[in-house]
Amino acid sequence: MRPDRVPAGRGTPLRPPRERAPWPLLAAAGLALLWLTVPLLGLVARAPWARLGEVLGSTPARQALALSAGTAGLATVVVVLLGVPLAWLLARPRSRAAGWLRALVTVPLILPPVVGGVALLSVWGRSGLLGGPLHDLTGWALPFTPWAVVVAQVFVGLPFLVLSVEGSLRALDRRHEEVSATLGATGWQTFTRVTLPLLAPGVLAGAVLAWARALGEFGATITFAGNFPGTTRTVPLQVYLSLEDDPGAALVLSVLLMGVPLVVLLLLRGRWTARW
Amino acid sequence: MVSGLRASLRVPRPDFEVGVDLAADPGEVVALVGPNGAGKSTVLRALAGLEPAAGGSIRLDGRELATLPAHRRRVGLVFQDPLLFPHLSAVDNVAHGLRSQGLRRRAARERALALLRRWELGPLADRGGRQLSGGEAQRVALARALAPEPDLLLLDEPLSALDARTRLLTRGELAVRLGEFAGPSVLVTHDPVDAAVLADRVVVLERGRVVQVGTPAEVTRRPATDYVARLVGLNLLRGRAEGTTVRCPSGLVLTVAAPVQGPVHCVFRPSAVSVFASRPEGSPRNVLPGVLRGMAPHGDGVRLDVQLGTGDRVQAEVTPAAVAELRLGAASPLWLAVKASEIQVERAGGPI
Repeated sequence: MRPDRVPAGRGTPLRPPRERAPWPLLAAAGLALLWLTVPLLGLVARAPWARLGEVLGSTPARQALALSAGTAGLATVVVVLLGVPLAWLLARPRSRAAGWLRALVTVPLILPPVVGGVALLSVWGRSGLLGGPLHDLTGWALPFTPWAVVVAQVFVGLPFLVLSVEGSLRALDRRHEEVSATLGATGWQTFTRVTLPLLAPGVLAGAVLAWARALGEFGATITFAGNFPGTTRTVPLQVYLSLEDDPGAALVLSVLLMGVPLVVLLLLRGRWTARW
Repeated sequence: MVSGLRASLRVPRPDFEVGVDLAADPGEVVALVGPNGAGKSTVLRALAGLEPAAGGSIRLDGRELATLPAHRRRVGLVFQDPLLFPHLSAVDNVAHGLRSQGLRRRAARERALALLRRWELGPLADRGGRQLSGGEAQRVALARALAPEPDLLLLDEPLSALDARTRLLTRGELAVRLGEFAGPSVLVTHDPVDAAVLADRVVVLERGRVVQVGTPAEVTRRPATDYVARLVGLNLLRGRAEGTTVRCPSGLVLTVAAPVQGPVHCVFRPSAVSVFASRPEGSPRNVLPGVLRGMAPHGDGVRLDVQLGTGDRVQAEVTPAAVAELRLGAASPLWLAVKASEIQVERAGGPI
């Protein structure tokens, strides 16, 4: 034995005692947690639960709910169909432009939604870059239609899906795709039969995030699509409107807007992590 | 038309360029050995079409592969990790290549299942990748690579992720499959035993260049560089086992520890060979008389090239002090001793 080696004592605990977290960190973390949860609890506490059926059954609420469900659903489909290929492109090995593209994709995340709405108007408005010629040709304009709601929702929801799927793609062992290629599968066959199934959990997670974002979209919608009952007044807009004349209804709808995505997230959470 | 593989490749890498000429005849197994970072895997990936080559040509049975994308090369590839598609069962993994060839789902599954049954993997067919052990998964991966009947088989360290015992069994199976495969195979390995047991020819790669080509026995006997000597400096004797006795064609008889039947390779390290100036007494080991044919420094020691009375060549590694003590000179008679437990016995390819 080397002389510098100290023999291990018999019966001495090998695990050092766990260090206590410093109190400033604990205090700040606790404050952050309260900051996040107290408003949500307030919402639940103040909501007039007895009026649930009455509020949800009212015509404005029913119209808003139907519109929100339809537009957010359609927006999510568009987001998945366009976002997965974009994520695939960004995550391609040896892709040079990826850094720039990723920065571009992130823009709607940090952009104030109102600004997003203004930006969409400047393109699709009656005198906009594309909307002008379109209106001249067909007499139809996108803004202030339900389609505008969908366009705004896709605009704000897309980054969530792209970033989520790109993350999954980076975590993927790309050699699976290489093996598939050596087995004779074309790029498309490999994408549909190998890559996409392996990505499914990431696509699902991203789709849920994008859907939740689309469901809650307010700023870009009111700017770009307006606030017309039955055509562009989604649930968040209805909440804002109700706050003036019927705060109770606003609370009920708010709880709904918070609860539905939360339930969906909780239901899916266990599923996609338990798979494989 | 030249059949088999004739490749001449130049592949750029950050530190050096890999430039390799490689030939493999139909049915031949060529082992590509070399230190880490020598460019072995790069060569394999370039052959498979997964790595762009700067130049050269890859002719396979007269077909030029270098200009084809990976999916049109008809090359089977097995990595170190099985990389089974985790969302598919074993049989669907094997069927993937057949489906890519345009076979219908049902037909592809049936053929995949037939292949798995032939390989005695039938009971694993419906299991997912996560439900297979490392050795099972690697056997399924090999079945998957061979199912579409590729013209060339590439194996990138196929055994190195397995534990010692599984490795032994899987190596035996691999030897059988390589024996059945009609096309050329290229095996990347850094395990000299793999090269000795599985390969017909060894190509040694260092820093992107071929430094030696030969049969495992030739490379073992005359390693071109220090690295090769350390890497493949193994004693390799072929023979037929009956229990713990192995008889070589030369008449040499070896005693081994584990009983086996049939054709085998006996592999042992030169450092496992003890050298004596006179016959050692009273030990149950393999004691072999021989004559010194050559001597070369090797690392801290000296490597002796000994010709046994039966004509077989055996390498022994001793310390410089032992060389002096034994008063070794040209054609010195000496005795070699090898413990039965030091001899690694590997089943040779083909049906046992």
